[in-house]
Amino acid sequence: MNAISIQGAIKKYPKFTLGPIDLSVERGELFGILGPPSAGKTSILKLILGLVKPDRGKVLIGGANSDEMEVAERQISMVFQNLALFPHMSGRENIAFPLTERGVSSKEIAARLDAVSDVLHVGHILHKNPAQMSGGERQRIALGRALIADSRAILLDEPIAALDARLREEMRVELKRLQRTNNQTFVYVSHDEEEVMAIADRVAVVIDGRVAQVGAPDDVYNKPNSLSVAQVIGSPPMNLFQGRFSADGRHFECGDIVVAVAGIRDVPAGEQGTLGIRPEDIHRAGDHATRRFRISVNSIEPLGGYTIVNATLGGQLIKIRVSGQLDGPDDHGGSVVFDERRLHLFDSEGDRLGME
Amino acid sequence: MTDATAETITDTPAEPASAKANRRSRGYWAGVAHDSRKLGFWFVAPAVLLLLFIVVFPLAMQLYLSLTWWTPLDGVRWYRAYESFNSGDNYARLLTDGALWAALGRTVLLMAIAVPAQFLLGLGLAYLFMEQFVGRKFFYSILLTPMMIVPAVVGLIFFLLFQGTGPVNDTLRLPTSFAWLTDVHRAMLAVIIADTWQWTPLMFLILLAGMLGVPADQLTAGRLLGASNWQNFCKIVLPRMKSVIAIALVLRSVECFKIFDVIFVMTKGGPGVETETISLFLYKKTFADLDWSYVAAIGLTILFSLSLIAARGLSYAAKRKG
Ligand SMILES: Nc1ncnc2c1ncn2[C@@H]1O[C@H](COP(=O)(O)OP(=O)(O)O)[C@@H](O)[C@H]1O
Ligand SMILES: [Mg+2]
Repeated sequence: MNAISIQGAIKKYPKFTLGPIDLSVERGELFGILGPPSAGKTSILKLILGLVKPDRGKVLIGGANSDEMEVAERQISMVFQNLALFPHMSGRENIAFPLTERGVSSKEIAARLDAVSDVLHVGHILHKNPAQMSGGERQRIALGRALIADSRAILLDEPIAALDARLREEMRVELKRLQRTNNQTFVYVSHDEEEVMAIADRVAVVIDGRVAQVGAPDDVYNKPNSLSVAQVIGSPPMNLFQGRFSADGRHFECGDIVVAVAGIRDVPAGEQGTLGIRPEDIHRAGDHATRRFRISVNSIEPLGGYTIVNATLGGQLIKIRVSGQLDGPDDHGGSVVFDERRLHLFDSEGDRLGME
Repeated sequence: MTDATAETITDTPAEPASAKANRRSRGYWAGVAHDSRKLGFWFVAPAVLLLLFIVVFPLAMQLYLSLTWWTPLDGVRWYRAYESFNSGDNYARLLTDGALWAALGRTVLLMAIAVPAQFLLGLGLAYLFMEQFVGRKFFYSILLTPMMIVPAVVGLIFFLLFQGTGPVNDTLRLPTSFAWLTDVHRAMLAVIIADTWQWTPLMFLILLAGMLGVPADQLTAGRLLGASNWQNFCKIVLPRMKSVIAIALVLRSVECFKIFDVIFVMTKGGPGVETETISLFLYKKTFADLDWSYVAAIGLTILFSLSLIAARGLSYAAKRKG
């Protein structure tokens, strides 16, 4: 059964309209919500929490309509972006807060506190106040506070955005581990696609208040269903070429760049469109490669495990991602080929043209 | 530091003069810092002098006069007051002055009732104003008006309200012979009501500011975690307001201690001395008895004790903060 399901929910603000949103989060799933800032991600969480009532549509919690449910009745926990820990309470008091407020016996509180602090490795900081903790420690306390009450789902609103890069990576692995071991339902919001792609079972891409695409991270990455999703996902972003489909519908042309559009249904022959190719799908042309493109290299960013080549192709700046390090400055200079199995074509509306 | 200097010198062994210049240039910023501190002194000096003149001179003069029998009736210039030096008799006198202590007692009684009443009312109102409701802004401005009224006018308002033939008796269906301002017990009550009416808004304002200072996310978090509004208030809001509360209480206590205008207009300290607080007592001593040096001694003593108490209160607040 779905843990959370949003059906046709719309919420209008003076300058922003959220929805209609249709989403369902399975029980035990780590569901990612990804989108640029101000896309409406937090607003979706507020709908789920009941902090905001939808103007239209409904939110089902555990299969039941939540219209009449109070905020606390929904039994959904949340880790706020700024954590919202209580500064005048110790770590222990912070974590135990939901239980003390519900009048749980002190014996049970102690037992659950032990369990949670074991999972989160926070036993040694429970006596500290938030002000005395490091960013990562605060993060754990906030998580502990969300975990300790048996909630149906835990919503995390950009929970690790404030941490530094290394800690972010550690924390996201740990979040995934927690979610797995407790078999919890997580809704994880972030504007950082790498973060969401790394840990989510499924991801919803939210753009301009609407869910643009839902699917497994791989699917969303490999088959973005629209130009806007293609632009949001992937780093460095996808290279895009605006051009036109040939009149016979067999090619896509953008100046000198011409690619065959094999195996695509309903090619809008003669119309405008966009070709997308991810930086890692552009390769150095072999000796016998046909349809090679001349590039001139502008700069190279060696990033250790991979290298980004900034180049010009057909008068347009492109990025090429090469795994490992370049052999020499001329490597990837000269000619490149596109991996033709991994082209993305969009019609003039920005919708993906389906492969057969 | 010495290392660096030594190094500089050995760097340029042939040119001691340039080495010296070099060393000076290294110390340039330190020099500026030092000079600027001196300079800063000269910048603030006028302000300090002014402050000395405004604050210290009157206090010193008061202390000086309080140690003499000087009164303006003697026809002796104030700086020659030392001629009637009395070796602290005024201070000895105030310790045993029954009327003074009685006035002090009444002042403390008034404080002990009025300030907590204002605090509780202000807190309750602030709690109500945490929520959004229709007309919130309107009620907010209405609530703050008493605070803006000149205290003497407040005195006048309540003087009229509490007349035997006034609206209070009328509303409570009491006979016109039912006296407030001339009754031994009710006069003080009337004064307390007037003061509370005027100063609850200030309490309300300070406490509301303190409450609104609690981040909304924390209250939302509390709500999500199962706390009711009331629990939220007790567990999250109040603990964070300790210092604000302490400041509000100290502020109002000090102000209340000095209460004058309202009482002067309403009862003139009467009936008898029933509502004669310390300020009215001093007023009478000054203008009726012309006992100036004694008043100076009392004034200084009160200033000193009050400062001590307020400082303790505020340091408690500072300690509780954060
Ligand atoms: N209470 C509100 N009143 C008016 N506009 C709001 C309110 N809450 C959010 N918005 C608007 O909705 C948009 C999306 O906000 P939000 O959901 O916080 O985005 P995100 O979390 O994706 O950054 C923003 O443009 C914001 O201005
Ligand atoms: Mg947000």
